[in-house]
This record gives sequence, structure tokens and C-alpha cells, in this order.
Amino acid sequence: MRNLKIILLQFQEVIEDRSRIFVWFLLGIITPLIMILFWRGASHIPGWTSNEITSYYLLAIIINAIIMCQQEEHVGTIDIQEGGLSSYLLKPFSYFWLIFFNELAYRLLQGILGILLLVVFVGFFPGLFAFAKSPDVLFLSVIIAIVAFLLTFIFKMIIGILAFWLTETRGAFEATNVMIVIFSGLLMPLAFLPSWLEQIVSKMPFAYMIYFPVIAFEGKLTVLELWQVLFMEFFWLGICLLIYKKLWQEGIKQYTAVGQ
Amino acid sequence: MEIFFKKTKHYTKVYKMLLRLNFARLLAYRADLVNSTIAHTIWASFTIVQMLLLTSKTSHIFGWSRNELLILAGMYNIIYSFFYMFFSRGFNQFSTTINFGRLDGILTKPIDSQFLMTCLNITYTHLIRLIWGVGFLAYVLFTMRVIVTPLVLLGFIVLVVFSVMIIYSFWMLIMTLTIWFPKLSNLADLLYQINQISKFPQEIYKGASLYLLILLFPLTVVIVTPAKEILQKVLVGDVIGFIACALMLFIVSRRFWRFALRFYTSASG
Repeated sequence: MRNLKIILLQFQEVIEDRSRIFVWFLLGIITPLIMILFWRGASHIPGWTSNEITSYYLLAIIINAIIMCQQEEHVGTIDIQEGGLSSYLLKPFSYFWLIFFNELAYRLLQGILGILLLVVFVGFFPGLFAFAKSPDVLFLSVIIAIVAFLLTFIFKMIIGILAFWLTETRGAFEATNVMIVIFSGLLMPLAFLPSWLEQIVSKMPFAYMIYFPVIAFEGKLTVLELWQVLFMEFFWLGICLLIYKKLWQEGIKQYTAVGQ
Repeated sequence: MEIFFKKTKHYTKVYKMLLRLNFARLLAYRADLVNSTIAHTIWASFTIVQMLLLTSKTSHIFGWSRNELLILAGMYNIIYSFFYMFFSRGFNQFSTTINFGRLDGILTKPIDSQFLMTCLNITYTHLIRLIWGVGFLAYVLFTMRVIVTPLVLLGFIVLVVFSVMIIYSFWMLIMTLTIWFPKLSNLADLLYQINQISKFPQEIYKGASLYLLILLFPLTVVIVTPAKEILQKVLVGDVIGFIACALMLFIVSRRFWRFALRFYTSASG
């Protein structure tokens, strides 16, 4: 009951911020929309039709809205550097879960906007989308998306709590954002990268945040490949969780806050 | 005319002072200097890496060759470095200045409010972006064996000034909306994303909605026109239209700001 109340409170807080959330949503759709227009002018890309590319970016908009957590700046700047963390530490509730529920509320609201956009596009251009049709594939794709959300959340928590050690965090946040845009598949499907780079990137955690969930929903992966993706996601999730726990334990010893 | 010269002299004096003060601030916060330099380097290299990757599997996009697209990436860094250096910090603070009623203080000063809102902060660290842009552009032009004559260079510099004027006016028009919607603190973030439109050829937007195209038209020419100048492919008509567009947008944005100020209700409103 207590947890439910906390979740509802987080939702209330997020809904208050709806006009800004709409702008954040617009922010996330600009790059994919430009990319759709860009690739229309490209010569043939092996293995991808023009419709598949459009479908990829539109799905990437939704997956990005639902999955890509954005809490690192709040955690790093407001909570750790400006001392907001002190009030959370005194509460009988885990800071980790408070941030988790807050982010969940943001993602759900942005996800609704993303789905509305998808409905509009499907309504106007029904032949444009390639979706997985098999129930098995769809079920596994949903699981992959959920694990991807957990992975991005913990990854962004790690980036946020680096503020325990860094006095200036902007460089770290910007570098992370650039890496995510390039390597997660937001800029372009990893299949469009030079093959040597694709091989490396497809093993990195970023690829499991956007690219693999998107191509899973597109039906581009077999059931066996979906299980492999899921395995890799759990692998990176485990690694990130271990790193987070270790960093939090050490970081909290570093944390100091002053007041009158 | 005499009043105009007097005002110009006065504002030049104020701006010189601002340049000095901002430089002193840059040296005072050294950690911020290092941090900002790293962040700007990351974004400057991102623009170039992005274009390199996008063109890795295709040789032409809407008739633009790979090298020409790379020139756009270099140009993007050059032109936006000027805008970010001289104006973007002011625009970033628009929403908080208006939302917390700090505009009251600005309106009571004997200096133009638009000048104070947008020109007060100068971020010298964006020079790193300029260096990246110039270096990369020179490299691509060298590999393409393009010879840039002093006349072309002069034309290019003039067009860069008008490009910055277009970007400034576009931002001013949009950010003025915060007078009515002061809580939209992320409007500037949205504009940073919209700026990306400029780094691609105009032709890619031909399939987009007409309304969207009209709204975003100014940004689709700010990089392409100076790029065509440096490649010596620009037409006289393009240049005249470009300069007219810049001047018109500047006048409209200024009038819109003055109009919007009538609706400013301070923090209590």
C-alpha cells in the first residue's frame, strides 16, 4: 500500500509537469524524423527497404520515449551536488526506488505520447510499418523492452552517482549522451555502420537500449536471436547492477552536505 | 543620424565591457572552463563523426557527395560556434529570467531589454568548436582541391554574419513565447535539437509538410548558403534572398519581442 501511494505521488508530480514533458517528447522525435528524410535520398542500403528504415525510426521514437531514462542530471546535480540527497536519506524509503518510480511515471507518460504518434502514422500510412506478427516474437520483444528499460535506468544511475567524485559532471553527461545517440541505434540502425564497428557496437550495452528492442518489434530477429538478445541484456544488467551497488556504497561515504 | 551614431558608440562601449567581464569570469571558474571545453569538443566531434557514419554506406544523398556533406558538418561547427558563443547562454536563461520576474530589473535599466536578455553572457569556450570546424573544413577543402580566393573568403564571412543573424532571430521569435509560457524551461533545449536541421541539404526536407517547411525554412539555408559560397556554386539571387531573409527576420523578431513585453506581468502575474 505504501509503495502504491509513493507511485501515485510520483505520477501526480509528473502530470503537473505535462507541458514540459510534451516539449521533452518533441525533443526526442526530431533526430529520428530528420533521419527518415535523410535516408530517403540515399542509394540502396543492402537488406533494408525504404519502408523498413522509416518504420525503424518511428519505432525508435516510441522505444526511446518509453525506455530511455533521463534521471542522471537530477541525481548528479540536484541531489548529490546541491545536497538534495540528504532529505531522501532520512526517509524510510530507498532513494533508488523513489527515483525508479519517478522515472517510470515519466516514461509511461512519454510512452503514451509515442503510442499516440504511432497510431496517427499507422492511420495515415498503413503500409509503412513492419511489425512482428508471431505472438512468440511479440511476447519476447516486450520482455526485451522491459529489460532494456531496467538496463538504461541502472546505467543512468551509475552516470548520475559519478557526481560523488566529480565536481563538474557536465562533460561526463555530454559524453554519455553522445555515445548513446551513436551506439544505441538512435542515429542510425547499427547495420548501417561499417561492419567492423557494427561488430564491436553490437556487443556494447548501448545497442541493447534501443537498437535490439526496435528490430525485435520489427520482426527482424528469429526466436533464437531474441533469446540471445535477452541473455546479453541480462548479462549487462547484472554487470551494471554490480557496478552501481559498489559505487553507491563507496560514494555515500564521500557524500557531505551542509546546512544551518 | 547623430542619435544613431551616439547609440552605436554607447552600445559598443557597453559590449566591450561585457567582453572583458565575461573573460574575467571565464578565468575565475577554471573547473567550468575545463569542463565546458570538454563538452564542446565532444559535440563538435559528434557533428563530424555523425556525418562520417551517415555517409559510410552511401556515396550520394540527394545529389550531394560525401565530401560536400562533410563540408556542411564543418560549416555547422563554425557558424553555430559563433551563435553559441555570443548568444545561446542568454537564451538559456530566458525562461528563468521571465518566470522569476527578473525581467523587471532588466526593463528598468537604461539599455535595450533585448540586448540585455541576449547579449549579456559570452561563452568563450565555444571557440574550441570554431577551431574544430575551421580545421575540419580546411582539411575537406584541401582533399577536394578547392581553391578559396580572398574574394570568396570575404563573401563567405559576410554570409556567416547573416547566417548568425537568421539563427539569432529564429531563436528570438521562439524564445519570446516564454513571456506567455514562462514554465517552458526546456524550450531552449528543443531549439538546440531543431538546429540540427541546418546541417543537412535543403533537398531532404522537400517531402516534409509545407507548413513545417515554411516554419523551418530559415534554418535550412543558414549552413547551405555559405557552403555553396565556399564551393563557388552560389547564385546572386540566392545571396540577395538570403540577406533579405536575415534582415526581415531580425526586424520581425524585434517587433515580436516588443509586442510580447506588453503581456509581461512580472512574477506576481
